[in-house]
Amino acid sequence: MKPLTSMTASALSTLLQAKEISSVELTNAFLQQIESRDCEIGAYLTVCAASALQTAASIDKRRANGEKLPALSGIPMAIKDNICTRGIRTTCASKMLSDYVPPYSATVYSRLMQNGAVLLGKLNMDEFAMGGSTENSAYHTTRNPHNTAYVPGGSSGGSAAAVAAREAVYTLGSDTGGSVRLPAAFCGAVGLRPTYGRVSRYGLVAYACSLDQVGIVTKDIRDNALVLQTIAGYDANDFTSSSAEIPDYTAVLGRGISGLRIGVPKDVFSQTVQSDVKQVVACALEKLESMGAELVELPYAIPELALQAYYILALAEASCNLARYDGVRYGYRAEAAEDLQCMYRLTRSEGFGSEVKRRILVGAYLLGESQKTAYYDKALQVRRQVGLFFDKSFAMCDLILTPTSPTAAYRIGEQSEDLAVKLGMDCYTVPASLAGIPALSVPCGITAEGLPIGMQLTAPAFCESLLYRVAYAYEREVGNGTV
Amino acid sequence: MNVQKPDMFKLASLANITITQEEAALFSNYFDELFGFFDGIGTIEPGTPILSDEMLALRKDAAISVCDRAELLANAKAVEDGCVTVPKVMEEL
Repeated sequence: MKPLTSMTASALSTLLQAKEISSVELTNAFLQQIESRDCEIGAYLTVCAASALQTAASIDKRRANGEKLPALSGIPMAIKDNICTRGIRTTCASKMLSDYVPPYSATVYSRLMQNGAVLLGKLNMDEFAMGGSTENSAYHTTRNPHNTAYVPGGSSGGSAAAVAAREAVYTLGSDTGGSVRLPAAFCGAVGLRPTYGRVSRYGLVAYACSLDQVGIVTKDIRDNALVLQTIAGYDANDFTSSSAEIPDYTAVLGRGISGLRIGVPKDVFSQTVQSDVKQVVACALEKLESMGAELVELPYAIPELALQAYYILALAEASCNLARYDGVRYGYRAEAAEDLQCMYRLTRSEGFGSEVKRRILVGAYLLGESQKTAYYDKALQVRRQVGLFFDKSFAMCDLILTPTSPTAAYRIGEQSEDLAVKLGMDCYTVPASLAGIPALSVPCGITAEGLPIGMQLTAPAFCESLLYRVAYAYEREVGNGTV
Repeated sequence: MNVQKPDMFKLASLANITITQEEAALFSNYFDELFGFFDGIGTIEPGTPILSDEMLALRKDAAISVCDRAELLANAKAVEDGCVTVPKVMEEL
């Protein structure tokens, strides 16, 4: 038998149901893995060993009593540290929330716990989800388990690294412009950004509300479908959540892809794409064609200003969302302040890291009266153009395939100084975020240095099943990714 | 696009953040780079539609249950008689 920490949730579920292993045994195996590996990887900010073992013991007891439990019962997982967990510190990897203990839980966390999940701990991230490398955490940098000299991607770097380092069976992250898909690609894991509204955002600390979504990182496609099945659905606490029917996501696995049309946007492999990435994704396309899919060369290119529009909207929203951190009701409070205004300013200056501060400043500027028409309104127009690009494209194909990012992971501390190149890492992921449609990053190969490469499948709103169907067929054909 | 670069100290003040001279210089360079990157957005013609046909979601105007007062206050740095306290707002006469 493979080590327990290498197994998928669905395989472990079978063993648990057959009582071949116990949840306590499984949880201990993961806690030992965290103990031995996380000093090198740095995926976790908080480890909840005692409560994890307590939950596991209670699941084992219920199973021993003959209770029929959901598929994810007794399986250890971990959550990005911007998802509120009642009674458990939630820091957003910021000094601002270093001792914040939420008095409520995010809906996604509650749903997992109601289904018997075992929480191992909270995961590192870029501060307030602002970054793409997990180097911007106020606590420590997370490292890529495939090569610890490299970044794991971000902002959900801890979520992807924990799965890749076998420190959790699956994890939740958050995806605003690619923050689940990018690290999943860098770490050789499967990463889903669901349709906007498919999963509740209640309890997810806001960065840019119109773009934020809770995402899922797993070892394989089936696990991803299982987790989405558990957390999807309407939530009265999130008025942007959807009451659209939830299909059985695992029912489509194994159906094959014969006749499905996979679209490739015009000029998708621009000059800025790393040659390894280009080659590996082109091979994946050929493989899908050989499996019966029809490749469609779309006459439309991804709108070229999507990236600019994304940053304008995200930073404008962020400056509003982060205005709440003033040291009054929760979070860090500067001690030296003599009056209230001084307290606000000192608290925010000392509590936020440099990346967060500069993004707030840009956002504040963008929302100024004179800039709103010049930037914010134009960005909304581009957002609409991105939606129209997808509408036109999906009239010609069933789903769209691109690389997840133009390059594989880069060395820690060696991100390009060129801002356009730096922001360009999100060029493939932000369009789905702007359009609010689902996208899935699937491992599809490695670079010459052995670093994982991901391809991204994008589908119309609420068509996660289609993503899983194609990705599962591909996974079965070429093997279970690189995790 | 012709961008009037803001006074970093004034902008920081609007955002309730205090910045040093060094930070002001760093942020100023970042603004130059970022707004250079944003430049193309000015080419978007007026008249392109902004909103889709979908209705904006609105929450019902109804009272909902919230957390217990003591739980909410547990994260505050300074509490007195069940209320959050802050430094003085008005000058002493």
